[in-house]
Amino acid sequence: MSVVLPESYDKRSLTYRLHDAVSYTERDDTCLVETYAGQGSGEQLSECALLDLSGVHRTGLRGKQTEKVLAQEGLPFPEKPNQVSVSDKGAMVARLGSTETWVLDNPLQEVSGLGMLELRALNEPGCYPIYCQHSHIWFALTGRHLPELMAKICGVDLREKAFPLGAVVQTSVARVGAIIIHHQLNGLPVFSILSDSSSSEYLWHALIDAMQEFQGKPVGLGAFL
Amino acid sequence: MKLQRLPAPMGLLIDRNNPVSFSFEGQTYTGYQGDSIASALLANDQWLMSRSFKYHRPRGPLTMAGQDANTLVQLGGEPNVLADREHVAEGMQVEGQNYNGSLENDRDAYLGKFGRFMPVGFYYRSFFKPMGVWDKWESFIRDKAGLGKLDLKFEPEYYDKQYLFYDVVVTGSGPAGLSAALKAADAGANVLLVEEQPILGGSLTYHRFDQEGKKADQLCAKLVSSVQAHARIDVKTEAVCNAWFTENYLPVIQGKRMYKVRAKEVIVASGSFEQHAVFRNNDLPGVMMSSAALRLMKWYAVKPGEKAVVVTVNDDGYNTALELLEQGIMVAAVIDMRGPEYSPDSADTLRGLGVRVETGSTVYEALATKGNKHIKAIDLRKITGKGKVSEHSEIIECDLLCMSGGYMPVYQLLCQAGAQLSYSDDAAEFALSGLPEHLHIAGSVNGVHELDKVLEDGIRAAVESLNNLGLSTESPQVVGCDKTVNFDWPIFSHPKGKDFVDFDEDLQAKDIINATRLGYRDVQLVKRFSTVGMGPSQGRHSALPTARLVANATDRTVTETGVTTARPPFAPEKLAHVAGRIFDPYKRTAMHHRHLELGAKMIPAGIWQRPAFYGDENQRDHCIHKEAEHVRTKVGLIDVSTLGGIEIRGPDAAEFMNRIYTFAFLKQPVGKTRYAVLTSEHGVVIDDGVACRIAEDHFYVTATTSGVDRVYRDMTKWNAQWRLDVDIYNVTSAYAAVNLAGPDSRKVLEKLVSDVDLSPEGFPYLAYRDGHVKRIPARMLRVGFVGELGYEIHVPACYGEALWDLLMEVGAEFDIKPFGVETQRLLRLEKGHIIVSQDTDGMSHPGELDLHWAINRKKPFFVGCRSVDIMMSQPLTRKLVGFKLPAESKKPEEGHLVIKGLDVSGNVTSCEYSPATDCIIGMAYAASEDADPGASITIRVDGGAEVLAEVVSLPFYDPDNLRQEM
Repeated sequence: MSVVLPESYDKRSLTYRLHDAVSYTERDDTCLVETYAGQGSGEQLSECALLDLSGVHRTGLRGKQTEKVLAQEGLPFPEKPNQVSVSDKGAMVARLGSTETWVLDNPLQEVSGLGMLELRALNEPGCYPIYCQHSHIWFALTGRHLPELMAKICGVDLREKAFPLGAVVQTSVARVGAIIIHHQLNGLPVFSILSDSSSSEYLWHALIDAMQEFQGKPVGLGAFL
Repeated sequence: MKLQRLPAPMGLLIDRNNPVSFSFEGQTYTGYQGDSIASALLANDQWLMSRSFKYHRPRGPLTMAGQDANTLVQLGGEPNVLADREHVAEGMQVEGQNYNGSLENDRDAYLGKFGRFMPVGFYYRSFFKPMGVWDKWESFIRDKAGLGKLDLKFEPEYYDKQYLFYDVVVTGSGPAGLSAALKAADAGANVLLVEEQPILGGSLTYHRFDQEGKKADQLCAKLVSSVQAHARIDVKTEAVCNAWFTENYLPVIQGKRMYKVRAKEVIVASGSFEQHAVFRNNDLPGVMMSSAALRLMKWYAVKPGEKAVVVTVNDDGYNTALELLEQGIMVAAVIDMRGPEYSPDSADTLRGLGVRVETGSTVYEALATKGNKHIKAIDLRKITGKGKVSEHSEIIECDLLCMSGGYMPVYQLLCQAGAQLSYSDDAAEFALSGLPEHLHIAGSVNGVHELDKVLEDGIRAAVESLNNLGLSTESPQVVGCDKTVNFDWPIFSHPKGKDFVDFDEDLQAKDIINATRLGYRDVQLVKRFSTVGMGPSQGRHSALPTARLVANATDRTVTETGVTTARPPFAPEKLAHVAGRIFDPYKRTAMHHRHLELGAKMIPAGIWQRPAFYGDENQRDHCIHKEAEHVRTKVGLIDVSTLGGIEIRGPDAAEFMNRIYTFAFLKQPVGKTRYAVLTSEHGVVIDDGVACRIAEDHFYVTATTSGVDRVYRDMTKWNAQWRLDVDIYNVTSAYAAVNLAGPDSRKVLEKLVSDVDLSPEGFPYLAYRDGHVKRIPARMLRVGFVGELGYEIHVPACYGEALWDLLMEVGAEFDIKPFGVETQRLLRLEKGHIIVSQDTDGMSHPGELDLHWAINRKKPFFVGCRSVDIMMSQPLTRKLVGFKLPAESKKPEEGHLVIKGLDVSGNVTSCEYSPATDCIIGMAYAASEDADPGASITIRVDGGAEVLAEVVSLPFYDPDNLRQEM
């Protein structure tokens, strides 16, 4: 069995150097962290964990025809801005404005279901693709300390009452612009953070630092298996 | 005298099973876990803890609540630690501070004898002339008046911040705060209760509210257990709400963290500070607030003395006496400044216990043991008038004097919020009014002093909050309270002074009065002149007597006089709390680590990190010149990912471009690039870039690294008015980009690109092509920024590193080398290309920059067109010119002035030695009459020397542009 390494691929997450002693799994012409050395079971996910999902496929649509294109692909269009809806296959559609949505693939699904979406957007007048796969990293935080942890780095109230499942906020995290999505993975509550990819190393370290008091650790997707 | 610990239930805070050993002034002491440094020292009969600021007088605890400067000690490298707040810990090393010699035998204690020669402000009235004399005196004075010592070699510790959000925040967990918190939480509000002390309960934990001494304990236990069991109440003890900011934004400091709390409603139940009485030697160790003596007993089981006197202006002094008696302390006398009609029952009770009670009397002087180390007796006098006493003196021996001098509301947070203080002559007390919406007060800070009423007042404040939150429709019940706790004039000045108003600053009553006599009638001026209230306790105990003294001396009411402004922070806070865990973002390109691997010297470019050049940073010029030469002769590669990128998409894309930029874009062919200059509405050049037309309805335009955010913002702002059918999208981070430049660049690219005709005809200068670099989708632009055959290649950011790797790998055959930003700046300077913001300033219009060619005069509009027309119709006063100097000349630097006669006509914007021309070249603003080639300009360089530079036409290199268009 060949060893999967980020530098074997043309498409590389800007964060791959942040991960020491990891094993990778291939996904959509790039790779994702599968496990860290010594990574425990799913218990860490319930406690406090950080995942780098930057390699997971995502794209965005903007313009008057956004809802139409989403419908053609069988994707839901959230009722209001700053909400996220989940498709049958687990893809998330986060509505960021009246006509802007970002579509994030299901990280637990091995094959991307979004390939046609970008093509449709390119061919539909009044619908413009958003290159969030490249402009934004995707980190995901899990565990029972999510609101407390985020309160150290974000000025928005992210407790369940103010930021329920399915909510989206567009704010600053550790002084860099970020979109935070409250959703679930395998039934676990998750805060997904999408932030400027050029600040990804900075933000990763800021998150790791904030997690220390909760014994947080980075984990790979394997923790969900 | 060896004081023993009192039996339980005294000692709420200490754990008698855990002794703790520590040292003070080199001597080892034992306390218990939970002790403060001060309580542990007092338990060991060590009363002297510090020396006063000015007179170096011995000082012991005053409040035992961390509200005064008497217990400031040095803790290792940390000065000014409050000994009555800081817990003892095993092995802790504590020192006194502000003494000369030893704390016990301070050689500077003699200063007190010269007090009359050192009136308020003496040093800045005495040492200001002759000129320069202050410089000689300063170190001496600062040495005598200094506090602790800073450890300049300290290792920074980890401090951080956290946001919190609550429906209701209650500051203070006394009876009012507890009842308010419970009422609010019971109704469904999420509540944060902030308490400065280690335990909840406030005055219920130490104060005696009834003669039997039962009421407080029972009530406290009930309320505290309810609060602690309540799911909707979060409690923070040993936490200080240090300010009130607009819209209930509260910094709450606990340990090494500052919580930034957002509260919908705030209830301040901060209580009130017990006040001292003003008489001679009221600062001796052994003279303390009644509440301090009670805290010592209740919290720490420390017996504060063997024989006590209580001087009081309210019932609390009587209850203090009862508590002292109950703990085995003889009470020699209770001295009530009021008449006999005020507390007859309490007086009878005490008399029944054998305690002498004197009414209408005061302590006129506290008498000291040798060296003022402790109180040994008091001078009892009858009060004969306002601040006056009889001649008859009676000395009563004692080793403890408890002062119940009345109360001052803890008004600081409330006044920060805009509340007004007004003084009631009847109650001799300040009251607060004019609170902003969503801020409430309850309890003694609200002038309510009866325990039952205090509880009701807490509920009233909670109901008001709940009404605002929509959680209750109950009508708040106004709570009245007739009980008074203050005396109108507990101030008895002594001819020999040392009757302290402000312990922090050693200010006596006469110091305040003299300030008014010198013309400082306003209390704010009195503060600034005398420094009253400027010490660590920030007027907690000096504000009230100062207001009374100033009012009396200036024949005004106390309300008219008022108190000085309360500003944040409420309690001293460390800079670490404010500065801790700074977020300092940085940006890196996809190729960042390749630059590091290649030995790049990285420099900041705004928030980005970019390679300046590659190689030894001590050989900057050599590295840059070598890189430049390589680009001129072979092929170089530079990371330009930080360039801004904006997409304009939609049916009106061309129209939008045409309105935003100065050039014409309506007829720009697809597959072509065009230089794009952006002017502000004032006609000033604010950015530039290259616009690529990808499709009829699709432009991709670059912007400067530092300017892209502004350009994007301006674009969206303008289109909010124009309502054109376009989508404007900032794709800066979505793309990584390189500039492959040099005569061999085409050869390198040909190895990797198969779907684009790279021939000069197929892909000419200024053309744009979509294609693939091997497998990587790419946008390719023929550019000439550095003056050589060159390609800007933009790829999705995730492919950035792979693109770099491919080009470096394939380019090895052609000796490809990376080059940095500094090299690029030199190369573009040789070509005479400007960098907006380096070669332009806030006044630069296109005419000054020779950018006439980039302005389309035929189109009806572009942003700034009217201003550009006006400015360019005026005679030029300055112009950006190229200049050169012989290579051996002293090189001007950016910013050096261009001199014309006695005037400054401009400045140098760029200047470097040019290997391609072997001379120093640069650009500078010069007077328009000196702008023609062949003219000379004078540049003042470092050291004031002047060099004469020749003005030349641009560019310096390849004027026919043959190399970039090959």
